[in-house]
Amino acid sequence: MGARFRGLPGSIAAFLGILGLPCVIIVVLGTLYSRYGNLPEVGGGLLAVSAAASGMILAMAGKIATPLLQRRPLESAPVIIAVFVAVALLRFPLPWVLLVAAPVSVGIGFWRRP
Amino acid sequence: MKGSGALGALAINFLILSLLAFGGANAIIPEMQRQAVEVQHWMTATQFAALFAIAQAAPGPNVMVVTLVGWQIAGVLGAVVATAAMMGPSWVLTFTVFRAWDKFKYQPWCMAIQNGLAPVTVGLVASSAFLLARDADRDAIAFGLTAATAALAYWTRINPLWAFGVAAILGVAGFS
Repeated sequence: MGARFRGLPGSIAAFLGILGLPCVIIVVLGTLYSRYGNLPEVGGGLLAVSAAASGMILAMAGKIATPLLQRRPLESAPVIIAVFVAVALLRFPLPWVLLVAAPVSVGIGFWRRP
Repeated sequence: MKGSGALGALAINFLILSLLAFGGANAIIPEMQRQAVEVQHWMTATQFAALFAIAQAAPGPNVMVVTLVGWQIAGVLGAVVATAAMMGPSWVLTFTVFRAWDKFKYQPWCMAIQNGLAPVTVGLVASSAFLLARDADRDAIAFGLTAATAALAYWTRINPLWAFGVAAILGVAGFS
């Protein structure tokens, strides 16, 4: 975005503007965690937030998947399932999964183009 | 696991992740978790889940979990190295490639690449959700929190931070 409006300096400014304050906040929170993370209340609270956050990510996957599955179910569903099995269940390293899945998926899309 | 060896491993790990992050920060959570917990043994799965929760609940981009992981492993220097390694390549790539991408965006081969990568991203983001839920959902209440937040975020426009707040209160109170 920054690059679009002001070239290189704009891009650097946008980068620091987006990351500067959050970086400070996150390091403060991290310090608090390493000091108080062993307390059962803190650990329990964070684990519960983590449970909620995983739900949010699941919804995100659902939102990206819905239009894909509606428009091109035969092309997208096998790729989604294969990547999920390889990464989530078999825990294959990501570089290898991508090296196979990305060209195959692009190939399927190109071969069965609408 | 502190020292220059850890810093080097951090830099290499996040440089590689950075180049794989075309699907966004949530697409590389599985690999980040695999490296930090299973390969390098930098932390336990529970610690990773906690750091992830902090990064999600805090303001700023989700990719800040990288800063936290680096900080946890090697202090301030670790945070800087991990963040720079993660952001640097994708930042350079964005700056140099986006003009070309803008120009070719509507070319058939370019659309084919975008369409082909979308289902891969879905598989990766779904894997993130699964792996994090596996580590966080120790009981029925936590599982309910995951399901309720997913439903809330999918079907409503309510800010998920409210769900995080409710979850935090329940968790601190010892219910989950």
